[in-house]
Amino acid sequence: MRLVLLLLCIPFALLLEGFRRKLIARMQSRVGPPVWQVFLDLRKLLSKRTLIARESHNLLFEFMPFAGLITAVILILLISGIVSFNYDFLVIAYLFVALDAFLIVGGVASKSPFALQSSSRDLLLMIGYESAFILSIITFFSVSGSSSLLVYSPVFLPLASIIIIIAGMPMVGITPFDTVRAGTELAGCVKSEYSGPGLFAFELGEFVRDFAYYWLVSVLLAGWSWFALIVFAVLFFGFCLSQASTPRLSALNTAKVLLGLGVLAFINLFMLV
Amino acid sequence: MHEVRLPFGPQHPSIKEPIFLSVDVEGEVVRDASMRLGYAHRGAEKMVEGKSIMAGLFVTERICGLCSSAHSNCYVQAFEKLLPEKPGLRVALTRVVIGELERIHSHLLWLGFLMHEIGFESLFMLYWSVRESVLNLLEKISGNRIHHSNNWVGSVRSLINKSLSLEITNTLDAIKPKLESYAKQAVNDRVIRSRLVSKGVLSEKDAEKLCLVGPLARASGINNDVRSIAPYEAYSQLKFKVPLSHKCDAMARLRIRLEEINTSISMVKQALALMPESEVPALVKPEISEGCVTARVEAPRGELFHYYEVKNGLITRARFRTPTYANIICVPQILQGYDLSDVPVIIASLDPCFSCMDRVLVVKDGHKRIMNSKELMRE
Repeated sequence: MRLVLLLLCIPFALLLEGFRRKLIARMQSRVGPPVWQVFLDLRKLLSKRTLIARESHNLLFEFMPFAGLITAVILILLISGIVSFNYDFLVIAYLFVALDAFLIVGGVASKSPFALQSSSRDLLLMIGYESAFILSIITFFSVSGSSSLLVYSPVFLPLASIIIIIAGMPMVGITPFDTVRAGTELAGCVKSEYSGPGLFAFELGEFVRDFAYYWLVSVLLAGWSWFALIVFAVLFFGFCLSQASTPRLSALNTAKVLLGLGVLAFINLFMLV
Repeated sequence: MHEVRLPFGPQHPSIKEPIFLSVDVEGEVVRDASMRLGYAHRGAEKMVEGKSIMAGLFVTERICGLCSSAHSNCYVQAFEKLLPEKPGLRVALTRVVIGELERIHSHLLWLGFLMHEIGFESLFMLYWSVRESVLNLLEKISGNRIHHSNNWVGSVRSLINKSLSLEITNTLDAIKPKLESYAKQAVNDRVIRSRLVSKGVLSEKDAEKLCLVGPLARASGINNDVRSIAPYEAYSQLKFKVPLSHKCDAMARLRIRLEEINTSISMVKQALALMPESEVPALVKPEISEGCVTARVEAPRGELFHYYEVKNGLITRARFRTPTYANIICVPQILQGYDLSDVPVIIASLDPCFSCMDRVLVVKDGHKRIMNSKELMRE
């Protein structure tokens, strides 16, 4: 049963991305692509020939997207409760950071100037949003007194909830904090040199990670109840609305906001625990 | 800090036409920038040479998709100087209507493009949906959405009758409140302001020194609008105020273009109100055998200048100075010291059009030649 759940998670993550594209298109008075377009895109990527520039030809560059995809699948295993142990929430938090780090290392290993610039930008911003994300998860678990995500009982923490939602925006790539995915500035960003199956693993890893984020935050805010589904839907809709209705902040302003968010998360944890 | 050289182009998501911009960044700060042009060079001037006057018109109106009417208007104006009779008020007003509708759709395209550069996709889509209404009007007038092909030396191909005039007025009335609402959002949004205010500053002195034209110059306080300082067609009969700003930044360029859309809407309405029901000259081949003429018009991006020499009814020399050709010189200077995030915004604020700008490459007998300025002028 649990294996079936895990197998369903990946297509559901892709469907969610399809819905995201469709919903944003409708918000912009466009028809948008069909919901299953993501499946077609990924299938096409698998059939594409891998082209790697001579400078990018190294093991790190080739392996990192697959490491990211494996990490994303492990994240789903942990968040869905298929695998559960004491203090698994800390592992979940670290896996989110590790996934981002794998993708950044892949970008650096590609030696593309765009990927290098995007990686250095992401490294700076990660100090803010990843620390805010981890500290908020610790805040939720410390206040609730739960030792594992599977036995988590929800607590009402408005500031920590806002922090974890804002910290998720640069992670999922939502304006105004999607600076690391700013295609008009950095072309393909960390993905600039990837093609074929490498890009497939990269993209799939990101979609699964985004799905894992929505799932985790829904559980943190509403616990293991039907209400979590409503939180999931509201969070997803809110992110789509933000994506459709706000412009992107500049890198400098994003860094200011996210570093401030990290500090705020630390103060919040200090005050509550 | 480690310096990285980023290649913007020839293919890059922020630049919709081919240009190579090399940007040296230290961290996020742009230290130096240089550019290489010529990727879209089509030899438009050479293409016109050796053609008859009517054949040349078809080439010039295809130099640019966004300034198609401006180019053909400049062309016909140049040759109409050699005609014994002027085409009349109805022709002039029809050209004004098409020229101003073209300016509106070009500015709307630019607004959408600017919003796309800062990641505001919804406003980009909304601006482009309004642009569709303007393109539909142009299609109803001329039969074409982009290359209107309405100008003829001494006349126009399509006329605007009463019912079409009413439809144009109604459509413009319908889009005006939408544009006002979008403009309010574009000008007042805090994030947009943080991306545009004090970015890409070009002082009045610099703009004058670099001989900039169009909305770019007007945002730096220089009024060089040809419609106002040297009125052509029927512009002298229309009441309008040239929008000017002394803020000199990307936000000022946005405001100028927003105001210009309103000015153009007012001009179209005035032109339609003045439109007589008189006959226009027939579409005949112009009898011009020899001459040397120039003309200039205000294209959506600024002053457009054409120069022609005619011998035995054939064009022997053509020279076009497009607005981007005059404005592009400021790019390396305007980027220095700003953040990498500002580069696409600042370039977009110039509203460059590279396809009609690329010039100078001279190839003879299959060999590239490097010439000094005197040789180049002689050529």
